[in-house]
Amino acid sequence: MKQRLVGFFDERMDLSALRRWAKEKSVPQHKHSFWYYFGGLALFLITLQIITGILLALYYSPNPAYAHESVKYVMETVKYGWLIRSIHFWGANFLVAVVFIHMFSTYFMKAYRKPREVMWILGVLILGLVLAFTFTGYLLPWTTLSYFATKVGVNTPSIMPILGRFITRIMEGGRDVGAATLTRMFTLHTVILPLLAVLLITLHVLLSQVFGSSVPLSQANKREAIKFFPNFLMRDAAVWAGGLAILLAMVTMFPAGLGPKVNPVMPAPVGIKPEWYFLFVFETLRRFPETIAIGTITLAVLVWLIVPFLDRRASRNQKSTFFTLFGAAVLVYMISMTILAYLTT
Amino acid sequence: MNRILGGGVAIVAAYILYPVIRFLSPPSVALGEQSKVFVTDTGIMKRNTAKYFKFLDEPAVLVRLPNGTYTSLSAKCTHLGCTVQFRSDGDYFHCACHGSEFAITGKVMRGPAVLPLPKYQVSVSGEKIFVSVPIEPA
Repeated sequence: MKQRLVGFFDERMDLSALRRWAKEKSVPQHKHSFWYYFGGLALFLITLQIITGILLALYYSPNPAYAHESVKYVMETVKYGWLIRSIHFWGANFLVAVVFIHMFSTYFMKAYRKPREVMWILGVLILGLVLAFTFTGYLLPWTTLSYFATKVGVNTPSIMPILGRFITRIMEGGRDVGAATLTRMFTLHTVILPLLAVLLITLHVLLSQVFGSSVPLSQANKREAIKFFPNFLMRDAAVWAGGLAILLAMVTMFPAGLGPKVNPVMPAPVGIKPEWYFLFVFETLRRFPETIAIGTITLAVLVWLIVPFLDRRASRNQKSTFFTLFGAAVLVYMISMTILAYLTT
Repeated sequence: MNRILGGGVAIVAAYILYPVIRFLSPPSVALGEQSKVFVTDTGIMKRNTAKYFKFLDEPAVLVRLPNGTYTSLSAKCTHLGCTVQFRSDGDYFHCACHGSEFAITGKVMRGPAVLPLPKYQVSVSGEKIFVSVPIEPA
């Protein structure tokens, strides 16, 4: 049966090139190979988010009058609703963490060097998309915390000269965060961002197949490798299973909660703060004037995006200590600001 | 020839993008009927308390001062838009999002906000308290 099926497609599409590629594809083995698994794990979590997201969309109502109630209905009445939403909630947190680890590990291994510049840029854009997913999804339960987090988020671009107010207005869909904002965030979260994500992730994965895994400069003399099919894929699958086990443990021990429904007229409650992955931005905004805070973060993101073109030494396969220190400084800043935000609010 | 073709493509792109961008930006709402709103009756609010309400599609606050008079301001923090909280223990507004503080007049007492809260006009007609469009920045 299997042979007949393969034969059917082979006859029509000539799968010999695909078979040759699968047979020849290998993954380098060295002391830093462990970090390779985070790319596959991110892909696995994205798949999980798509599946649970589609399921949640069957019950969700993007209207301020029903949004909170519809999520509550899923959590309390729909069979396994709490499970599906909790997987989506924890999956988002895990995904952000895994994509950050994947990005910083590839940064410190200088995997962005020639010829993988475009792959790096796509990767940074995908991280931006993941954060955009979390931001747009955050408003959907229409809770007090999600409402004010969105207010801060949509008002942040307004400090930019010329286009700032216009961008905020497009995101808000009115004079303030309200029904129009909820519809827009839902559309972004379920239609526009997924389309962009599919496009960017496909290109990113395609390029990773074309170039293969990057070997760090310190390991360039190592020639060991394992076959992708089935060896690496099996290990990848084991990592996915491990990730899923940890995720399900978190889901069952700490199911996603649902805060109180927002009353848009009432003030923001004391002690309000965003999710852990936005805490460093939150703390920066608290400690510095918004123009300096947003200006510096924007500049750092731009430098991060084009780092393959700035780090010329890495492109020539030479050590580039300056960029290693720059990456370390960014990481230390993010972690210390996150800790500060936890300690001072 | 390539330049002409490129220019043509750019014009077509602009033809398509312009209406899309205009479509994304919501039309401005005429504020005529909203420029004056009824908030509450006199005698309902105790001294040193605040009442929140929606005005010009944004949160606003009416405060009854310790001397019995009323004042009204926008409750939208001028930093990044959170709704500020009236603190009766010190007659000021506190923004829980990033910690800005404003005096009862709207003036910034503590950043990161730099602009004051816009002040509104309060008028009492019979036993009804109305708030109308901003008269001047604090």
